[in-house]
Amino acid sequence: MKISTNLDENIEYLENLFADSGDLVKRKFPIGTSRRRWAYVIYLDGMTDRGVVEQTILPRLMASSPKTPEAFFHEPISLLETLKDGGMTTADLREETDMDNIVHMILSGDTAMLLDGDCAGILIATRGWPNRGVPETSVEVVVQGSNEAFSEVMRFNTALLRRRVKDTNLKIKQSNVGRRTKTDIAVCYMEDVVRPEVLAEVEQRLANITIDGILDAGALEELIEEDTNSPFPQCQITERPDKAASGIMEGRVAILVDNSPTAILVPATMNSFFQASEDYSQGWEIMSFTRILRFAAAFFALALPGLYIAITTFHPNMLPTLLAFKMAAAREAIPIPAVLEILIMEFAFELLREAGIRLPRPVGSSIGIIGGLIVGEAAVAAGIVSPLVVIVVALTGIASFAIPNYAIVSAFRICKFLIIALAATLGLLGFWIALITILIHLASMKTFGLPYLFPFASGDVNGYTDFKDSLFRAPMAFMKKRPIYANPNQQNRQQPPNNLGNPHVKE
Amino acid sequence: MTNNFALNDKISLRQVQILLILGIFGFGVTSLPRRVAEFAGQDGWLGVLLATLTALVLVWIITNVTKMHTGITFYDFACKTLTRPVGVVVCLFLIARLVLLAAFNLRIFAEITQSILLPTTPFWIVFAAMLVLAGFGASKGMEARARLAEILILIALVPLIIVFVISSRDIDFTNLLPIFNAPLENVGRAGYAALFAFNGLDMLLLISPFLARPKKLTKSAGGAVLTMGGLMVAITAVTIARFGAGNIARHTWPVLRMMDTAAMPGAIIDRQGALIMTFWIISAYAIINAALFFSSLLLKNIVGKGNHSRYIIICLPIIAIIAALPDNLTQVYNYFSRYNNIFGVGAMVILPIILLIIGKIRGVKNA
Repeated sequence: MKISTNLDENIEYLENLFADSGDLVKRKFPIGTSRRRWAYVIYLDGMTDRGVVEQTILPRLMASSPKTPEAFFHEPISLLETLKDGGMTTADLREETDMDNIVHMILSGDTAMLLDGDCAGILIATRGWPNRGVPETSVEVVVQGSNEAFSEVMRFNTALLRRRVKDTNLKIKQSNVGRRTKTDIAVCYMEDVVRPEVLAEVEQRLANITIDGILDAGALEELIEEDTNSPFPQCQITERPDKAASGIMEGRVAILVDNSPTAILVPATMNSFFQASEDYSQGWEIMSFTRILRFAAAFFALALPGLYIAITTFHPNMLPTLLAFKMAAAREAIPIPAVLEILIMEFAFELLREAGIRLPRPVGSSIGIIGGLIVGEAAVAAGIVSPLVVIVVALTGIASFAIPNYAIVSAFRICKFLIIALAATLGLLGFWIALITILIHLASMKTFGLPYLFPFASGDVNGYTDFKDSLFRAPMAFMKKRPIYANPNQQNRQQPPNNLGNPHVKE
Repeated sequence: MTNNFALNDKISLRQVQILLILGIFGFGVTSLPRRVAEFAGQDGWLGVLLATLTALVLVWIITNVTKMHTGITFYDFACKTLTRPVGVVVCLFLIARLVLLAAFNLRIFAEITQSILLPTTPFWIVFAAMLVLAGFGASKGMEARARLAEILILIALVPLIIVFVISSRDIDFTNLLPIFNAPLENVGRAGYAALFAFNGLDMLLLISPFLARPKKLTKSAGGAVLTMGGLMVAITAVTIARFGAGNIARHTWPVLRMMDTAAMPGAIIDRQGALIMTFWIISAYAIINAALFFSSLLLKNIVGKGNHSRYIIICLPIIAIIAALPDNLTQVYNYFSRYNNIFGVGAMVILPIILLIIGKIRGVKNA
């Protein structure tokens, strides 16, 4: 709807729309002292920086003061032009002729000013609301490296990215999703490094969303995923600006969602979930070791209980005699089958994990005591489970915490039960059938056009260079190429001479 | 090198190699030393060598036929070259060959599973589990099959090679001497028997629509066959050396027996039989999956409509029933050698040669 030249008509329209909105601040007032021309200012309290509106903009227009522009005392040809050309002491304003846009911007925290006799209004950027500043990382904690995390305010988040990548090629394209929530989102990428087909795909999927509201990045993630029936995450959610910036530098696309303290990074291969930002701030030897540890942890988190059941129930003859005897002795007095033992303990462990998240912080430590004592000691002492099962389940649990991404761990947790079920019915054959089923699923998955298992599958497309940052982390000097995410024309990360500031390396 | 993943359903030559090795290198090997030693005694490994060389020639013929029809399906090519009715018959022949191959492998897999892993589990459960798995994999299409193969080959071959190296430490290689003892004719017969360890080479005929770069197919496939041939020669030589040419006939699967009994130094696992089962499970999956995939694809081409997944569902019970037909393992191997003489030779040797000659004469070019 276009803005009318009749100010009162516009006022009536807006006030009807915003009826029963207690946080609305509005006022019609004459400009200057002549009282011939009227303006109408409207904004939402709490969403707006009141200081800017009340102390910088309105005083110049409302009363005669040494600062009031000369033009206001005469009959200006166009009030709008006069205001834009110096009537207001702010750089961030724009003209808007569409009423729907004006309403949207008011709802977003801007201040709108409508003028008598003009078919356009002025939008002044005055957004400002209570927030918790730049918080510290709480989920993706590192020993060494930045501790800044994304916050709920999207503008802060874009600033956190800009501070890390000072390049005009870093594009931040804003739009909004949600018919009702009109949630602001920003698509951030390096214009020259991103793969055009990936960017197009991201934009296409965002444009296809028709839902009424998005309240969090997680909800958006599900809407843009390829395969929503898969437990495996196809977008990487991170709270770390350095991780998002490094992803953008590799050619990935980061999506910021207003009110959400996380960024979505796409494409996200399986491998990317095993990378932590710490990996690049410490030595390659240590971090390569850690990488191998993480992949081993993933195998344990996924397969250890199933393997235990298969071997104890079906193939004890695989084990060396002494070990087999020990295991048999430990299981001797246990009245229930191994699979039930494992399931009981896994259930207890999952309960503890879930309760641990919900518990208020002051009582949080008690869950550890209860868990350790009751589930571990008491269950063994009561003869319900064997100590070996406690070890297996505890190892599975610990392993799941060693993987730096929560979403992929959740997927492993679910798949673990498939392996347990099949291993309990068909032994090692069932174990492998379950594992291959999961692998088939993973091999068939794509994330924004890239194979999910890259570089472990299809690695030859890139000449296997992506392996340097997978199972191990090669020294920086060897990682000359960007990963598969980058535009093929922008493969080189390092420019020759490639001595990385090390005076001992000959050029 | 292409970086474009938008090319859907295309696989790289590396993936072709891996699919080939994973799909072919399997159950043929378990009994290979016994079969060649039957004819050529301690010179059995020479037979395997001969078979490898023959397989290389076959690869050259087959891949050249494949390169004649890049971009179109084998069915279209066969109809174009041999007229439509003959083309349909040829495709039906290949479907029968693949379905039977899957059935034999399924049965042998179930027999091995029963002897090593699950002595009391009935066949039909193993059949069902493996067929559902292979069908699920085949329904995901060529690209997913190729990517999965890249992962599986690491899981399958690494433990196999480790155990093989360990089990070949304390071996009396004088058992192989004297070399060239067997008459040439017997080595030839051993070679013929060993050729069927390469069963499945003819699937190369069917992959043309999936190739991103068909030109270098011959070289890649040849490399894969050489790799497999090398492994087979080594395994045969070591196994014959271990048991001696005379005793080897006592073991149905001498390779399994050898690997199961080898002592692993300081290992947590006492008997590797179950560990090696990993390899057999994966190779059974690979061959049945490949046979299902290609036979369903051919069926789809002949019928001319629908998704290939529905043809997989048609093939599954047929394979299970055929696999259940033989009464015992001896009968399985009897049927299998008869099958090889007809379908194996037909699909791997005669059909490609005919197609190559007629294709060249009629000058069938790419679509």
